[in-house]
Amino acid sequence: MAARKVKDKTSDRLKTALKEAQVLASLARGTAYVTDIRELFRRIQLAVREVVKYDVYMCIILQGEDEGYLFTDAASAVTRSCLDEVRSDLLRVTNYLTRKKIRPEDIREEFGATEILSVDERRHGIRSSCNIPIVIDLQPIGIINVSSFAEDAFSKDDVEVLYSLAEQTSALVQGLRKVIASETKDIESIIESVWDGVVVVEREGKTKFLNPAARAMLATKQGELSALERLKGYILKDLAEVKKGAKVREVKVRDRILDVVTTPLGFEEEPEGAVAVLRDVTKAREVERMKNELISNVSHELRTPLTTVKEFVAILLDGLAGDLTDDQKEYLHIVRSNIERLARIVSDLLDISRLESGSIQLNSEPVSVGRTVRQAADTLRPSMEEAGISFRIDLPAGFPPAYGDSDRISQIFLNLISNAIKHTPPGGEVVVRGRELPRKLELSVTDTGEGIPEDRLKQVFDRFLQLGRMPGPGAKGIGLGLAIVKELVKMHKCKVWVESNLGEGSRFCFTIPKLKKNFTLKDYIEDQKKLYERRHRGFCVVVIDLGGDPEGDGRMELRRGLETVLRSPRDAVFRKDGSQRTVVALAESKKQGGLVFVKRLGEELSERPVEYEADVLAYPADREKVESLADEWAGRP
Amino acid sequence: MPDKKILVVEDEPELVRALEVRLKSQDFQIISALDGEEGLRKAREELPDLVILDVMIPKIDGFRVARFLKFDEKYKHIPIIMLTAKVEDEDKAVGEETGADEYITKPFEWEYLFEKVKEYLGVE
Repeated sequence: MAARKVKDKTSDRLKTALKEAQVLASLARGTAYVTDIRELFRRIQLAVREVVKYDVYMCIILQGEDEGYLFTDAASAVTRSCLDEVRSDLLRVTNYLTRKKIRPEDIREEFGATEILSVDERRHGIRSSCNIPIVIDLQPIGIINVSSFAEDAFSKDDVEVLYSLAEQTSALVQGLRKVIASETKDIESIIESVWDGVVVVEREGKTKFLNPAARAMLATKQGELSALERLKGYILKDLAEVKKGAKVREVKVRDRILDVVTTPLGFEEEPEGAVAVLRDVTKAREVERMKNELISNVSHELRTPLTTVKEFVAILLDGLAGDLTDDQKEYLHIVRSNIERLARIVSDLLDISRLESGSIQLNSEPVSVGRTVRQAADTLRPSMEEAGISFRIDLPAGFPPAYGDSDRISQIFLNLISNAIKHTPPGGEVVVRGRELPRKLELSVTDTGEGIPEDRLKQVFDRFLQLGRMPGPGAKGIGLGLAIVKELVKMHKCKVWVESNLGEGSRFCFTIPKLKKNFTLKDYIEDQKKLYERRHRGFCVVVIDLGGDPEGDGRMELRRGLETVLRSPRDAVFRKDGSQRTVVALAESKKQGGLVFVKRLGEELSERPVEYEADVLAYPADREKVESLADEWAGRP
Repeated sequence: MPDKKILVVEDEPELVRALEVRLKSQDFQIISALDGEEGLRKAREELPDLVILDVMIPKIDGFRVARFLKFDEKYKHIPIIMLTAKVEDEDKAVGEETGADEYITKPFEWEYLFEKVKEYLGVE
């Protein structure tokens, strides 16, 4: 709209009127669909700023009974005391108009500009100000205030413009409220009808919201929400701990099991409360339990008939029921290898079922990789020979010990090596290599088989998948070997992966934790303690450390040997000799196994190549001697 | 081989038979029981040199039989090899608490069992 140039006062007034119209129009356009109250505030403030010159601007809009929003802006830096003055005046006026008792702490304040506070304490006195109410349905719901350091800063025209803006604001707030109400209604309907329970708890503990599903989950037959208080306790505790995302926990409520997912509500640094979603997983857990029980029972049941069949076949093959013809021998061999296959399948099933249900725990200790691999190779040597495959171990000298569950690590190697054998043609080679990394050990089992196509590389570790095995001899299984390896490696918090080149072969790699350099006897004691406490529910420790090569196989072997011997200790007594390196543990057992154990300890020690010094004391005859040694070691008088 | 008496407590008669075939071929004398009650009684009456004891047996289970024997001055010296189809840690623990001398899982290798038998009988 072009403005005509008129050289008198009316042109100024027209200009103002024009400005006002433009601003109102843009305000209406720009804020037609504002759903964020902050955004609304900002636009209003900008609009006011266009038409009225102020030093301080404050706009308050009330929410509910006793809460509200305050939006502040200043033309230049002002002092805090100045703002406080304006604010308290504004509140006074608001309370007067609305007959409420809003306190400063009930208001959430937003600043339009970020740098409006100054520390200059020169008195910035407000000399004139204007308060324009924002009204909805004849009820004041807020006030627009403009203040100035100058006297009589605001003209009648300014006031009129402000009134228009206030009306516009009122319309916008109404529109906003409608939108929110309708969306809230939608959300509420959704939450009401959802099957999962929804609980909203305020930071102080008040229940803000409880949907019917939650009510049903928490109520007793009489309808009392007795479990609610306890649940809220958990929710608030989780709220305190969750930083990002959500915290999950399982809660038992009477005969139900609930999964509770808690997320913070409100601003990240200062959440107003928490939202918890409850899901009844009782049935799911029950099904899981039954499944595991089923697999477990079936597997156990299968073991006995397997044993019987296996035994009789072995008896026949050993000629105990008479001589066999060649054909008979051959057929019996076939029977036997199938029994073994069955036994393996049962074992694998049991393993994978227990691994998944999390009922397998790791018993970690120092493990000699070399020795473990050699043992696995020995077990698999017959199949290697039958398949015409050569085997090699390639570990660097002084390869450090691993730290993990020795049986499980053994199983990993067994599965990987037997898998390699299955996929390598006669004349091929399987090699086990190792490499030291900063905190882990990387092991690999390489074969010279046909390789794995790239799109299958990830799938190899899936359950029940069996890809192109070599025809002929070799343990046939159920396809769980690699899946089990994956779970076992995961349990050690490590990774397993495969690299392959078609036509050349595959390389299965995995990492396992390395025994830390300063792994001391004390660490070892702690581990063994945990192990025994877990197994024996409150047993005490067995400690062995004998001198000799600190990292070598000999020491490791001795440890294992002694552990087998010292399997049923009740109390441990430590005895230390003069040379600090040598500690032998004695177990004083209240059960009669103790005597047998002590005897075997003596035998074990006398056979070992590792140097040691020890005394073996027989129980109960040497009880006094044992006790005095214990005192001596413990430093008691 | 000297006259060593072995008591086999196992509720699967076929498995007993298999063990008998094996052990008799080594000139051991075999007595058997099909449940825990009979097993305990025969152990006390016959004073075998070794007991091969299955865990899952009727009437009195293997663990309790082992405990009864090990807690009794008269019988605690008899070595006990327990057979089980279970491998859970807790079962091992219970097994060890009862004071059994050895714990073998099924299906087992005869050679392994045989070695343990010889070990506990103190023969070669």
